[in-house]
Amino acid sequence: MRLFKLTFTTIFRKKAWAICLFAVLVLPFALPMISSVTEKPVLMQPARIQAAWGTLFVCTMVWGFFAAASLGEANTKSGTGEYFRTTGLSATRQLLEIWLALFAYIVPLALIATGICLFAAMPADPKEQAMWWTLNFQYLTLFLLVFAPLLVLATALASRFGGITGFGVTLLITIYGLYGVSYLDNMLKLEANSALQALWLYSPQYRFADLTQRLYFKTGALSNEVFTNMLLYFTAILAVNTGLSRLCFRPSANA
Amino acid sequence: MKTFSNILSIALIGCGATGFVIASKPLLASKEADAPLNVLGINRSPYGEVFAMAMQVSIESHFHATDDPGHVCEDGCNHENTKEIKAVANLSLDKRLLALIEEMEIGLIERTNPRGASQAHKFYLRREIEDKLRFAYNLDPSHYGNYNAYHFFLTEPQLGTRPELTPHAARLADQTITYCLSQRNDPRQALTAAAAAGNVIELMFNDRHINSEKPRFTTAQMKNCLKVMDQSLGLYALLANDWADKKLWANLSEHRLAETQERYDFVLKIRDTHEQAIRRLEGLSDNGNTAGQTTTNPD
Repeated sequence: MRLFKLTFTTIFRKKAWAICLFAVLVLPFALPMISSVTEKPVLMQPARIQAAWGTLFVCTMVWGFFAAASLGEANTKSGTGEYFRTTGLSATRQLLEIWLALFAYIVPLALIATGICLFAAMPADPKEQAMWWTLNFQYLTLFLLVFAPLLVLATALASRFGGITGFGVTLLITIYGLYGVSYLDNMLKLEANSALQALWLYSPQYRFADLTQRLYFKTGALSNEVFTNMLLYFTAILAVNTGLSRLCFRPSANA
Repeated sequence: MKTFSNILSIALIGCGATGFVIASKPLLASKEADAPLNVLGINRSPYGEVFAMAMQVSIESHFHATDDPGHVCEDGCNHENTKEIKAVANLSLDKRLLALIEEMEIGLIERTNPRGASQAHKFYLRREIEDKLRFAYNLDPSHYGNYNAYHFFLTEPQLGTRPELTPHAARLADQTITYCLSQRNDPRQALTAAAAAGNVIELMFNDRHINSEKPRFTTAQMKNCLKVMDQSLGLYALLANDWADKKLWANLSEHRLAETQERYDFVLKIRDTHEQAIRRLEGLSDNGNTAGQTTTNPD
């Protein structure tokens, strides 16, 4: 686990994680003050929830992907990957250790956002509290399941095509999966097109993992059946992303 | 040398900032340079027209967002019921994936909280709908569906009152008619203008039900609107023939053609109903009856 330790320390020394930590901890309490909460205090909890998860999404998509891409690029360019390969660490193992080091920073951020929803925005009605725990657990699980493979993908793409490509492509895929597919779907509902329909069908529909609206409208937890389906769906996408990343990752420039 | 370089930089910043401030003042005051907010010029552009069509479905999902648990779909819903999707055991991969996605889609918006949606939530959703409708309308003011949806939302009866010709709705109709009649490249835009004029006449009739003693609108005003309707329909016929000559109708899908025909027929029917109603109203007025006693039903 030497590469894991090295990567973990590198991220720690770069200090950008501190900005994300600060944002995730402070913004959910600071941002509601510039919303309509000042006029309507009853909106405090929804505003907090939205700020917590919004910040987490932005931090993961901007800092997380960027860090993943720069780590992948540095591993190839600086010769670190080559060195570890001579010590017998396979490419896949290197990718795993780099990813794990970064993921160790993302998980606490996600736990903080969930914690804020649980302890600073819990519904007062005891009837809703059990549902609240379930829904938060579901959201946390789906979020991690979606972003874990995307971080690997950013690292792998960056190791082969450079940091900008790794970051940009992963970010675009995520934004497309979160919002783009819905727009495509709307157009297809108005007028069918078999080619676009196929593209839509086989796109990663990350929008299902965004439960923020369920949280702030208190729509209730996902039913077990739907949640299981989502787990299955995102695990399948995880497998595809991992496969692609393994193929794409290279530990050194001449590998 | 370093000092000179620094002075040069500071002088550049100073001169630049002064020039920028001096130049910006008349520019900000000038009416010519003042352009309405329109990101990437998307509003009223060909891309805007496509997005405006795509907006329609997302608006509908907001209408159902506060449905209580156990909501049973009525004829009006176009989303399918979960139960129907279940029988997928022996379908192809495509169909199975589609069924899975649809099931997750429904699960994502399904309300499982035993408590109903709060008033604030419902109010928020109404706001959202209005914003979306206005956004879609701005993207393409000449789109028949988007204009009508926004119009009906604005004039929707609240607390038991009848739809009223509010200044807001009247301005919307005026704006739509002006914009649509200024366009010459698509006959369907003329239909939207005709529909807008029709809506105005309908609301004028409604006013007669509310203020039966002192109607705010005369039959002459209604006739003027009817003239606008005729003018729009004339423009439609002209442009439609033009399109037929140039074989431009062939560019439209069958679905769009049928839709246009349906709208045309509908607008024609509305026009005839309005004309008859105005004539009856005039007849009643001549006989000394109050206009409010008319049994005209503009719907």
